[in-house]
Amino acid sequence: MSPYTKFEKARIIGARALQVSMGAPVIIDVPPTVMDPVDIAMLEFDNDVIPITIKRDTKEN
Amino acid sequence: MPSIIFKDTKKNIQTLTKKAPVKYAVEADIKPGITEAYVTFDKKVFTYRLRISAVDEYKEDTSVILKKQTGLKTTLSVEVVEPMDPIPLSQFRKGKKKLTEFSDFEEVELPRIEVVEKTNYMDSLSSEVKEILELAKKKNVEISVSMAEELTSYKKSLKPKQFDELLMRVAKDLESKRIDPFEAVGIIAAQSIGEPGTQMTMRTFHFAGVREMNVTLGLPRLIEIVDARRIPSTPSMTVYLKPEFEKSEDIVMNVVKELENTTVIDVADIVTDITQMLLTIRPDEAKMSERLVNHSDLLDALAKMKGITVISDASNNDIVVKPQQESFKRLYQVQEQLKLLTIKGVPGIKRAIARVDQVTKSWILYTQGSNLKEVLEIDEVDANRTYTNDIIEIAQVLGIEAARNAIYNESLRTLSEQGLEVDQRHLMLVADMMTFGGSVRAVGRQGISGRKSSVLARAAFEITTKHLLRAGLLGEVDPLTGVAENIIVGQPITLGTGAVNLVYRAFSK
Repeated sequence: MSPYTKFEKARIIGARALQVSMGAPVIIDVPPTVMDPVDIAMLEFDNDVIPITIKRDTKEN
Repeated sequence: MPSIIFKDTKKNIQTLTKKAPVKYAVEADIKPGITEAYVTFDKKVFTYRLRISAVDEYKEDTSVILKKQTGLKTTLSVEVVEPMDPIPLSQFRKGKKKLTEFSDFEEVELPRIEVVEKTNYMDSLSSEVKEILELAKKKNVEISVSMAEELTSYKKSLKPKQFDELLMRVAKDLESKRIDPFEAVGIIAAQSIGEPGTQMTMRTFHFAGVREMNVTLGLPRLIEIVDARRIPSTPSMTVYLKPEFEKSEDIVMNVVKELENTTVIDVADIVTDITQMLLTIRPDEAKMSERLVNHSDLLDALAKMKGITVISDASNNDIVVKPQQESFKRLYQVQEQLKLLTIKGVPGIKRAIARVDQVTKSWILYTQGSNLKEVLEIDEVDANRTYTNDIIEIAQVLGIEAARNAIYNESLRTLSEQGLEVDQRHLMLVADMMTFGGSVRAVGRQGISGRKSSVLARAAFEITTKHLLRAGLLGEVDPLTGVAENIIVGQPITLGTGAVNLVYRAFSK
């Protein structure tokens, strides 16, 4: 079971895809056929290399 | 264990309290062997308990305290006089019957309420269920107790390895059915109930038989539940009797008689004689037998009315009533009072019919009109199963948790009767939202939506200007915590992906 909820996963991939689309270096080797930044971000997420994580609130404030 | 109840004066009890243990002489014949006596001052509530060690015949003796000066018959050896929490007269039983009134002395029984300690929930489960839960824990998966109960039937027929596989698949399926945090459950619930709602038909249901009863069902009923109406359009009750009475037709018919609220006008004609200032009640035999009322019931009811003289005519069945104060106004008042005078039954219950359940062969009563509190007070009624469809009444009598369950059960039943399947969690959410504040609140402007704490959320719902103007005058502050407020100001909402806070993680694992 992934430690992330579906919303957290979507948010992380979205943020990373934005970085990649704006020219950030890709961390892992991706096959040359993969061009879409979202696909790249998803590959990176599956390999757990994205340097982004989640901060969860422990209580309402 | 028999005990006695009697009426006494405050003064007597005070002297008893001071001098106890002491002998006390009373004017009634009391059987020996009684150890407890309950004392009332007003014949309604009992506030003192006397512990009695012996009961003897009365002999003149200076040490004895006398209840009265004359007519004394028995001496009670009073050990202690204890003030206690008031007990109403209706708590006492005489020969398993509830007491409604009593003369000065009565030998009665006080049924004890047994307090049974609730067992630990996990201990109450069967060993098979516990075994499965244990296995799931070992496999590091979570399954609910109800699911484990269902799995017990497969445990025997499957090989251990197959069962493990089944368990894992069930756990995985349960996991996938879970809602993620920050899911917009309210919207999903609204849509999930709203869509089947469009397919509901406007239809009322009829009971078969001569005395027909209508119960609102379908869409009108669903709207009624959600609106939290004070009185539903067709309040009705399903009354079950205690198991020992369920199969006896005589007792059932007696309860029907006790339930149905019958007034004088239901069984008789009232004729007003203006010249002689008299009212004549002409009982209608056919109506009387249909309502299971007899002549003496009618007279008993009239005896309770004040300000009138009842003259029973022996030659025929007519009853003549004369107002004590002679005026046309009074005559009219008495006539109006007579019409609505209850002879028998529970107020609010217009009709009751008894039907035999085909499966269990036991009687179930259905009523038109609802009065949960008073119906539950009838001795033969099983308070655990008796049900009413009046949610507000349930909230008042049984509490808010019961009302929450009533909302859930009623809405689920209304939907499933039409063959519509809605996930129970949506209905639970609605029921919880309506009741979490401690009182039953409607969905809509009067209830949940109209009482949101945020101004902008209220303004977005209905009557925008009124809410904004009011908030401006009062200087309200909106912390922008909800969804509607954030949409209005153009921020990401605090739901779904909008509720996620990203932080930089320097090293990958």
